[in-house]
Amino acid sequence: MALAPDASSAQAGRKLATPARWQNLNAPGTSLWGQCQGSGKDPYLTGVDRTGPAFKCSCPSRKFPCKHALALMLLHTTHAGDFGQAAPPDTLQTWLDGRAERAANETPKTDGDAPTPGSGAGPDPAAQAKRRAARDRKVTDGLDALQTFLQDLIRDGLAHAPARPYSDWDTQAARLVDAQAPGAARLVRQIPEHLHDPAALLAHLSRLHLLTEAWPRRDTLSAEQQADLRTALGFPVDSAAVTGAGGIRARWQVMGQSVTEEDNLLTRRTWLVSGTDTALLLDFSAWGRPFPPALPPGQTVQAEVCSAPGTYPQRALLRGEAPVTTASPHGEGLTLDALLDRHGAALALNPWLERTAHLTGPLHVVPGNPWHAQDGTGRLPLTGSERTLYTLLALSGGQPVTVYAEWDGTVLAPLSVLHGGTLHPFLTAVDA
Amino acid sequence: MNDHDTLLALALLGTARGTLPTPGPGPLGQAAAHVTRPAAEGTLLARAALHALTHAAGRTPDPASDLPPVPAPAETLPEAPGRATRHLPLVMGTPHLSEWLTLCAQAGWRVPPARLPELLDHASNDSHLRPLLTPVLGERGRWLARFNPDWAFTPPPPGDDAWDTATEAGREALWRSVRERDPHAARALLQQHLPTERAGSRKRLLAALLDTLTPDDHALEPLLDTLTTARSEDVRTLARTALHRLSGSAQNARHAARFAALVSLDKPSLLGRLTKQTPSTLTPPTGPDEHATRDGLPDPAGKEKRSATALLEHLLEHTHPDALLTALNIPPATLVNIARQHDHLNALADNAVHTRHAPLATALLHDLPTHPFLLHIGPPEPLAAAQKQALHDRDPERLLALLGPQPGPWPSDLSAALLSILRDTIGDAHYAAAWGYRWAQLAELAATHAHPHTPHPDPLPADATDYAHRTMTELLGTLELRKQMWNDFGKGRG
Repeated sequence: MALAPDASSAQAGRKLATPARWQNLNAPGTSLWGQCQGSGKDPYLTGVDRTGPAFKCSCPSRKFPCKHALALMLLHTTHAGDFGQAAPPDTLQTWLDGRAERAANETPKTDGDAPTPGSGAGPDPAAQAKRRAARDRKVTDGLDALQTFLQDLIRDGLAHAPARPYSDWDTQAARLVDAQAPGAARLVRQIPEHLHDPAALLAHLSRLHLLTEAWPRRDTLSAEQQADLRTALGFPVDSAAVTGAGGIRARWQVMGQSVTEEDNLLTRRTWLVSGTDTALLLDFSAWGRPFPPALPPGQTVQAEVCSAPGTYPQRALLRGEAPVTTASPHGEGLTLDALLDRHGAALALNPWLERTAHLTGPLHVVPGNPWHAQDGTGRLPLTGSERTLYTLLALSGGQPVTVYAEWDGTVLAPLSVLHGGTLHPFLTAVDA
Repeated sequence: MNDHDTLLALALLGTARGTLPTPGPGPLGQAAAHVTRPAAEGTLLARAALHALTHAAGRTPDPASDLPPVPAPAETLPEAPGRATRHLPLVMGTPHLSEWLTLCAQAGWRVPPARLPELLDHASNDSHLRPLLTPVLGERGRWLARFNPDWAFTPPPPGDDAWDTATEAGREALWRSVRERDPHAARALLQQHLPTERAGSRKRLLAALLDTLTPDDHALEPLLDTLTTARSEDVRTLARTALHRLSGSAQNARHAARFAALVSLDKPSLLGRLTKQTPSTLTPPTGPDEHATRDGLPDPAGKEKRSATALLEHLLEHTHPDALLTALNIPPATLVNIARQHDHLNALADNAVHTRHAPLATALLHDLPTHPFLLHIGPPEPLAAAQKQALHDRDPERLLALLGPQPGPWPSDLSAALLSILRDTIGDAHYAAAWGYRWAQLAELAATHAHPHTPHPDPLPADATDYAHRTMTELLGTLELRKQMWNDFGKGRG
């Protein structure tokens, strides 16, 4: 159900997931297909390629995956025995063959050399450099104005800041959007959240100021530090370059997912772990459009994960598809103190890093206001939906547990818990 | 004040009104001393960044202050296996959740811990689920419920102070759980606590008692008697209702005596003898009745005649049928006779339904042959016949009345007959109103109450509407899901 584009699809999928509504249920090879009686006379033909996963359905729904595909996958987990082995009808078979062919074509390419810049159909490097210079100029102007704004705030005294009209912050943020520095704009929009806490406000402003100081000196920074700075300013990741550079092909455990909303933009974070490597996949959904299909939390996928450049490589992109595979053993959990050490070390490399995620425990879950995670080294506040926290408590039964959690410098947000040898993912904000 | 605090103080005040503090001698101060910018504001912000990052990167866990919760006790019931719990995501939030919980309790299993918060939330919003969830919570569920006040409906863990620390809902839950295990102890609990409880709690406990009343509860009569004069009208009514259902109660005996004084059977005329009708006359009470108020008798201030018939109506409705029959030493048919003659058949029927008095219900069926509740209390044949007739007449109104109160799962043949009638009648309907809302309601009732192993009716004709196809597919799909659920639980019972 984590693949559902929204809560109503998940609900509709659940409703359809009874064998009797399906005239045909088959699971040949790595695909699923079936025919579901909809409102029309002819049943819908639904197919799922589990290697993707990828979906195809003859229904008119614009959601992706549609409720039929969701129901088909749900049925396959709950009623595997009802699935036959019959081959799909031609239309679906052609689609599956096409996908298999493309996957086969992709593999040799990934092992070969990266696409050469400037070759044939590639973008014109001269034009690219020109565009880049133009953007850099805009950012410089925007950050200069931001620096003046911040210094004015300090000259007038932060005690006066809460009395400023809201439009001051909005105008400043809008200017930064125009200056093509959306990351800085986001940080400016967050200022009002800190107005009641002077210490937090000063810390937030000082980090913004650090951005405005680092940008003019970017040439003195290493390539990785420059990448950190560009990411903090909200420059998009050059996906072609990241995936072109190749990555780590391994079994990755999907440790958990979380969704946050900011100004009509939903961001879904998916954390992957393979041995000592951690990777963060980001997906965005704006204006109510559904997310692209997610990797299944709690499961293991075979995937090539390419890290975006940075001093503390975390953000990553998937290259190709990520079929589900068998689980690999989990690592050891950190103590809360060690978790803070790791986070501190990461922050020393990238001062704008917003959060890190770690397997931590064994720790006690202590309900209260706020809830706490507690071990021999001390305790940290826990956050999450009520359902998540109570589920964590229910699974623990008062005994210490090991959780995979995000730490953002203030609160620990559990994404999954190790229970009975398997990873139990919590529902993301969209499903909950 | 440390370096950070002096910086913050200046930042609040504004650099226009103060000068930059000199950093302290510590290592952080030394590092900060190297951070200078042309403008004081720039220096302040850059030094603040150093402090903020050092603080964030050097943070250590807060000292632990609370003790972690005492771990949950070991489980005594096995956890429901995967084949049973796989249905939970499909039935959660649907009417079939109660069936799942019932099957789980019958199998002697408990729900897996990860599902507990969701189920407890559902039960806190739906009081019907609470008694079904309680037996399958396991130790973990009872332990977990202590941490959320919304889940206080679950019985608190046993202990000396369990009653005192529980909320009103918690006391009801505690009492119900004791009642299940040990009815005698439950009676003792009521005797101990009911006299001192607040009205809200009394109402809950009396309602719980009424739900589970047995003839053994005669021991509670003195307590219930005192409550018939309580301040709260609801409490008085509930106490009287309980005394009414305990056939040997003093309240019933007083009512029976009033009934015997009120009604006298006359000698039947020839016509009466032929039709087996015995005429009766009412003698209004003349003297005062000292227990009138505590027994809830109607106000005698009305007109004399009306007062006699109002008294009769009250007695017919609120006296245990056994007490009424013994008072005049008459068979049920004669009692029905008296009620009919004075136009109070419905009051007597309500009495028979509430006390589930089968002989009286049977006698009443001659006059009220279509009363669905009497049919359910009386012998099975008239009910089956009535259902058969309604199925034959394809009368959805009547079917709904006759099937509504019948607990599921219905017998297989009845379920099958209903399914084929639903199939036959839906054919050319394009939407629920065109089919008739009663039929649509019957279809919903069938989805939850029909026997899950009912064979499917013939497929719809090819020219049936999309609505018909969709409705029947949905109904049969639901039955299929329930059948699978039954099978998965059934194996566990083997």
